[in-house]
Amino acid sequence: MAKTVNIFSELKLLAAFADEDDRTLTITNPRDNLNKSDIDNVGNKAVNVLIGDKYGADFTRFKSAYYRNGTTTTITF
Amino acid sequence: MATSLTLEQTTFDSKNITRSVTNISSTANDSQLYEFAEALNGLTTNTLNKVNRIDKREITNEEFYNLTVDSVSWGNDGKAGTHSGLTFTIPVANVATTTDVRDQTFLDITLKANNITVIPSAVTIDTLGINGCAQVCFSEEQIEIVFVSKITGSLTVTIPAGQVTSGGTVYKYNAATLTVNVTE
Repeated sequence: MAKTVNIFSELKLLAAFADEDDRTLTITNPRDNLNKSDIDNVGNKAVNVLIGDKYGADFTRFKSAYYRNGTTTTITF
Repeated sequence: MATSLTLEQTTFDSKNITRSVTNISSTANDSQLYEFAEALNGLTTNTLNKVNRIDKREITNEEFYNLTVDSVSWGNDGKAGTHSGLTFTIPVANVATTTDVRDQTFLDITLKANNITVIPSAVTIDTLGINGCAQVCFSEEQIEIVFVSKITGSLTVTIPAGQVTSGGTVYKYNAATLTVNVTE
């Protein structure tokens, strides 16, 4: 039995659209010490690029962002 | 219509990975897409190697777009009269009666094809049916119709089919006709 431990980290961005729908973008391997201006920079570039599921439901802003990190353990028999 | 975007990246531990973002506007141009991808990658420790646009339709040199009016301004006060589609109506009172008030006697029109600004290079103007004189000029990003005397009636500006390049993609557009009505 072998045990493999992997470290992961990800950033989740909650995107809001004009139809009040939300969608989460997951970014793996985020940089440390990201701040609001980093997220705002992406948000500014996402306007007119990201769209929702419905006609006219364009991206409006990122509502929130949060990190998730930890380890995953795989056991091979 | 939606498209998607893939980012080919190299991670900090030298693994090559591909990430994709779905629900991307198909009208976003290549520069907008690349800047968005670059900004997303900037949140990571990865190196961005390549950005691919995957349209549900293929953009080729044979694909045509219709011209749309992006903005219209009339004279130095920015009032445009009215416009609908590619037709413009200007009250005759707004049209100058002398040639020495140059800044009051123009109509600036910005056209776009697939959100790319178009500067047609071979616009012709049909002065038949008008009483007066007008000519077509080009400013940096606009078609400019200059009225060099008071006119009445309507005139037609014909824009031939052409193409514009943006972000390495060629966007061709169909011919279009602008009609300018000058009404009492």
